[in-house]
Amino acid sequence: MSVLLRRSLEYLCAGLLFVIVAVVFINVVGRYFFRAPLRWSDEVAQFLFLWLSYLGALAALMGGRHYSLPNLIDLLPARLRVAAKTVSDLIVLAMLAVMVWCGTRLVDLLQHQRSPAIDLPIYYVYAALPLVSFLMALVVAFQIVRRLRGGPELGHEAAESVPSRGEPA
Amino acid sequence: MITGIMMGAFLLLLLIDVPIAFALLGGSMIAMFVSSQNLMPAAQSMIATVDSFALLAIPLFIAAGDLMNRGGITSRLVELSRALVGHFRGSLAQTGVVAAMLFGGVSGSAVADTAAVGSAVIPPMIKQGYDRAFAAALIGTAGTLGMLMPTSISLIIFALTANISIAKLLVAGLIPALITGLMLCVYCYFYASRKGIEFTDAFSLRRLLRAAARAIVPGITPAIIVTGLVGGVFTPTEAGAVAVVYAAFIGAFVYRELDWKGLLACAVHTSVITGLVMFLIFTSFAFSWVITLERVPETFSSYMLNNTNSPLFVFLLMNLFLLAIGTFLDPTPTILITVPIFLPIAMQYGIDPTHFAIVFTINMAIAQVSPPAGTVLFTACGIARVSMSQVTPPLLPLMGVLLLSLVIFVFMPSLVLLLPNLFFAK
Repeated sequence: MSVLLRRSLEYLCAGLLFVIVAVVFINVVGRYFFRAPLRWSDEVAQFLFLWLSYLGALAALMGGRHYSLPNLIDLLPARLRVAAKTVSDLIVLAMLAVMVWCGTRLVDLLQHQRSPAIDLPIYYVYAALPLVSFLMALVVAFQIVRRLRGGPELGHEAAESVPSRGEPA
Repeated sequence: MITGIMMGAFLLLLLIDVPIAFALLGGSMIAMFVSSQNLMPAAQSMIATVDSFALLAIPLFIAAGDLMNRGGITSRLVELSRALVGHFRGSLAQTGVVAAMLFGGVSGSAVADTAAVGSAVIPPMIKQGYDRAFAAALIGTAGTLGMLMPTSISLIIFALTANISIAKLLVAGLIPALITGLMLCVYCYFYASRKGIEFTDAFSLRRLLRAAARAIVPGITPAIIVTGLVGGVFTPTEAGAVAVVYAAFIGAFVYRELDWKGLLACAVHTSVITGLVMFLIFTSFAFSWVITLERVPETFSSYMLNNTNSPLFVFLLMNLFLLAIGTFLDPTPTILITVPIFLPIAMQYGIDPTHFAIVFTINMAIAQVSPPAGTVLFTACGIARVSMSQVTPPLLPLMGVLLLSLVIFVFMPSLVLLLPNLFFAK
């Protein structure tokens, strides 16, 4: 189930990336070959990129891929390790709760602002912050429960080759 | 005081295995709670990044590098370098240096690139009579030099963090990278003479031309980036997009090694790395927001200005600090965490930001191959199947070469700034 969700998220990100490349490339071609630069392209690419970054961060979290230090906790006996990881996940959960709160307020504050080039409500972009924070919180909560039930850590099932924890493959 | 709390919280969170990005976020949140700051501006800085169009260069460069690897360009370039220098003593080692440098910077992780190039170069080196440990040490060392090449993600991230021109910085890395690479090649020559390793194969013009013809089409990809930047034809972001489209086109239609599946895999790989790098960048914005608010650089620099007025001493202190933390922290987080503090201090001492960036990057390169924990060194050891203690003796002279280059470029800012000043108005 979780693998399926992660896969679809990754494909969504890949789709965003294709669109971004196309938009930026078309603008270059337009500027040099047809002398017709597109007014909207930079802004569209930028907005999609912010979404890609946040969704990619969520995918990285689901795959257990975020940078972390080589850790002493891994050397602890199993039960202590589970306890320590649960504590650290609870702290992350608290941070994410703050982010959801901040993000929602931000969206609220800026609800009348519009982007200069394509006249899009700016909260279409800002919504990424609370939404992705909320989804990240769900992932972390899910992981706390799974670990307490004796389940594995995130990222153990990563199908792609991952040389070491937190390293881009 | 607030700074102390923030740093303390950050380190404590790292110790209990919180990912670095979240530890940065937690540190800044606690600092802001304690000093009862409004959280909103910091939260906004996490998404309304002033110049996110420039940041977009990061995924595009990563995707271009990944496409080049999938399109079989690594093996073609190794072949070309063999045809080129195959008749010199120590040729295979020199080929390894050139290939590792060419690919060292493309994915933003010297670890991943060392893995890709190392598995292509280390086995033939061992077969030809090179010491396993030497092969691992050499490829690791050369791989980290890629961080100075014009395709380097580290330099882009540095430029964005330090608010200096990306194109200028990418060009500035070229001379230091080439000189250091040349120094490594010279070392390989003497190493091979001492060990009595002969050259690989006789020089053949036909072979060279054939290899060149095979490598030229994919080799244009990095060339697009460099000429585009130097000529001011496109912004780094646009150069990235053009390189991606070109690399995909070549891989799919000329070499036919890239299909939809490969393209999709590349996009997924790029997205996930983009996610983890960008999330780190966003959270570090919140972190450096607090650092600026608390006037941390000013406090440090006034303390240092009271004690010394020598920029060299400042360089020395920073070098030692970076070498220490760089061995266990990856370049991206190292840049994002330390540059907002270090660069203002360096500028107080009249050090040019571009010069500082290059010295900083050479430092990180050394740290990445330092025993006992250098992450690139680990990777190279893994490929050559040698242990950390075996690799250390042949590594020491190679690190000596890097240290020599560090000293050269600390003392000769004019050499670093030559190309940027030539191509870009000050």
